[in-house]
Amino acid sequence: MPTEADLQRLVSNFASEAKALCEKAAREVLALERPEHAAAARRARDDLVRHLHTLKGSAATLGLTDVKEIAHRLEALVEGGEGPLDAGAVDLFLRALDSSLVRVRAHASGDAAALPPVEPLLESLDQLLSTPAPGDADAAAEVTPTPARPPAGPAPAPAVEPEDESWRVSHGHVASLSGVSDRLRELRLRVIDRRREARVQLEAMEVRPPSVVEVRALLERVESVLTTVADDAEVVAGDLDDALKSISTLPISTALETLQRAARDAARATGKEAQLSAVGGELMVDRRLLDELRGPLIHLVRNAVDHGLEPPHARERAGKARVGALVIRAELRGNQLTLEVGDDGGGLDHRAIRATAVQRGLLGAAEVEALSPETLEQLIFRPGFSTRKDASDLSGRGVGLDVVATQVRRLGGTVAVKSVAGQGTQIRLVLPSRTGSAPVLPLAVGDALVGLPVVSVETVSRVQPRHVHRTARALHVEVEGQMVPLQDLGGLLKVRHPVVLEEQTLVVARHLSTRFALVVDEVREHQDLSIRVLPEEVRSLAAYQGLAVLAGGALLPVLEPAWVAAAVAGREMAMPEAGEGRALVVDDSLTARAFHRAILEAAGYQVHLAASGAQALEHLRRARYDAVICDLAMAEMDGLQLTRAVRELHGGATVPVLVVSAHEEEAARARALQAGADAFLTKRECATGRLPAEVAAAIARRRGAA
Amino acid sequence: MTDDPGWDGLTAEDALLLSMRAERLRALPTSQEAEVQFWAAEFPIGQETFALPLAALRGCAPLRLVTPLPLAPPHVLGVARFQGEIVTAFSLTMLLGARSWGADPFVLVVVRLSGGQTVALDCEQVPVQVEIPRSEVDRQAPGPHDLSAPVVVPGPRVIHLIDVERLTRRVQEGSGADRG
Repeated sequence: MPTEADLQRLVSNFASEAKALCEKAAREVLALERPEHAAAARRARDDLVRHLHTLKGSAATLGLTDVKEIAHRLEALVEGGEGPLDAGAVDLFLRALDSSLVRVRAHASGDAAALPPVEPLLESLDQLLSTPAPGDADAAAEVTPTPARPPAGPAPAPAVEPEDESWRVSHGHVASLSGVSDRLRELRLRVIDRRREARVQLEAMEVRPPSVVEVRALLERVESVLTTVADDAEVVAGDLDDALKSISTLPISTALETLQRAARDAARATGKEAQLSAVGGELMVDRRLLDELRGPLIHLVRNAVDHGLEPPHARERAGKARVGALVIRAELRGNQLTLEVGDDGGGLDHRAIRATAVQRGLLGAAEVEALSPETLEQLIFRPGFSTRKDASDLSGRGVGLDVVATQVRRLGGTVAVKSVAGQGTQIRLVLPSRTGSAPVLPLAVGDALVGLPVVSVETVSRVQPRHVHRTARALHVEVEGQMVPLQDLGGLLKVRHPVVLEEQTLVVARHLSTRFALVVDEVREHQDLSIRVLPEEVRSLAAYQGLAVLAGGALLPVLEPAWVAAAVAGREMAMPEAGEGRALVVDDSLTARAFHRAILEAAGYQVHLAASGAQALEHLRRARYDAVICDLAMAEMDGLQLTRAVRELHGGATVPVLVVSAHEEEAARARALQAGADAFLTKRECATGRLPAEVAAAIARRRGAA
Repeated sequence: MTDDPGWDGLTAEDALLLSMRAERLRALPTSQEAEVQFWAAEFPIGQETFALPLAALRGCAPLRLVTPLPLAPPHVLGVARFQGEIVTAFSLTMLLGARSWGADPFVLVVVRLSGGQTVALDCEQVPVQVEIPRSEVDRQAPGPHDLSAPVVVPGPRVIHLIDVERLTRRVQEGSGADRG
């Protein structure tokens, strides 16, 4: 006999099963309302009966009589019927399923006493049962005035469900994890065996010292064993990753089902007609992310119906289909999830947005007129912003979109809106999905190493000068007969002067329909990497979609292909002849480089950085600089050696070189000037802000001398 | 006061600051044992000594672990991994408004800000623990645009105690040096 505590635990466990059953049942009910054809209706009806039957059986076993009675009546309503369900019956069905779920949760948490009586709902269902079969559309129409139709007011929209902190895991997944665990134990036993052998060898050595040949043979054996263990550990780790991935991800379609319901309820509440379709529902994403997104997506769908779609008669007048189209599109690029909620309604009313912005004191009349359409549309994500004069029961006064934006940003994502008057609105959420890995191509440019998602990469080849075409202010490369805009990646990232050289590597890539080409120094072997969100303080950097952790723990900034495509297309290729106000800072201290850069950029210089003398010379071979600021004490090549090397370069004799040092000795100053430096400064003097003045003076002296 | 030859070459603001410090030193309690202590971690920046409340400190890491992030603002040195978390590394010299500079920093001090987020700051030396009389901490407040307030510790020495609330705001806003 189960104890009271056992029973309560079973009821708690049943809550998540009931949730899944009610969701599946709701999906079939919605499919029955507007089936694509008779066979689809039959299939939906069969599946619905099966889900309801399971719900009824489990509830009865656990003594949840109210839930059992609801499920029993719902099952009776659909069993043996034919054809679609009418809207009134669907309303009642959905209300009954919601009620079942609420009741199961209340039983699970011990709050059943606070539940309202179930009898009114059961009576409504009995009334519907006593009318002709729901499959008969005409008969069903007669049912609509019965309590099957919900009470006055909008149909209850599906509430954003409380966070379910537990996950249901299939037996298959558990078995797979057990397998991995067994293999880890096996691996451990093998290591223990080898350790035992090593102990025996060591004891033997105490008796008779081994020869060099024997030691060598022994070490070779140890190396071989360690290699095998490492390889096996890699395989086990991969399997563990796969098992965890399958547990921690869910198809996006699981969220889409709730949205179907939200769209239907919103349409019923507003007297509109809407059909929601989805693209990409099969994609698997981090289930925690999906849980976090459920609320924002419901907001967006309700908002699209309430504010986006026009009433049926208005749509017909505008030459559109009576039923408004809502489209949810999901796309996974690398570890980045894009979700778009679009409607084919009237689009955003720019005049109303302007008026609201002024009325709410967000912007002045002149400022609002100067805004671009894109910036203007972003105002809808401001707190409390709504162009509606009346509050709607469904979406309120625009409260919601700011909540959506806040939630998406909290998850490390971005939100954007695009609207065309008379044609509709699209709201796009781009979020980092934290689970799983994506292939990334590491690209080296100067001292920087960044990654590009392989999914964006088309080809990698050598730069062929005959294929590079220079127009007045831009470069293009001919790829398969098409002229593709070309940029030096180092130039785009502002780590060096952009010059395209023959020995460099060409990466042709694509973002959506936009092709672009990048010149890089080196392309390394691609790796499957998990891309993590940028820390909050640098998340606004649009150039990156995240950071990947490389073997050994180093971080690899991963480029955002959309940013690269836009940057390549939008940037003019600076010509190498230009040299006005360009400074090169050479220091092996990261802090010193950053500090000099800040000071010089504030003074109007364009600054490039080098962490060593060798890298500095590479910069100087690529382009002319108006001044070189180098540290005195650097590893490998110090500031004095670098100064002498600069003087040896073509055109380097007249480049102003300023040597900076943490030491304040006069001897250091004398040595720097003797090596050919134009000036010497201590870092303390730099901290007082003297650097820009000294650089300007050195440039002026050189020009005066010329 | 400006007639005193000892004050030659000082601005009125510096002279005032020094006289305030002297006054505080004179007012130090004679019985240090009775004083409630505030724990901090001190480190030099150039000629001056700064300190962070020990409670805000999460650990230290080598500066070479920082990966520079091209296109980031100058006061952002880059990003680094610390105990599995990815944190942004800032130049403390720049956040403080570049008051002075001694040796090149080689260590990262990892700090939990008042908003809960963790960031790393570069440092010239590994910080060491210091006790500051609580009364001294309570008496001092940073100037309206400062990140730190000068406090006097036994020795006597002056330490600039960094206000974590203000540091949080400065991190969020960007550094004074960035704004030029």
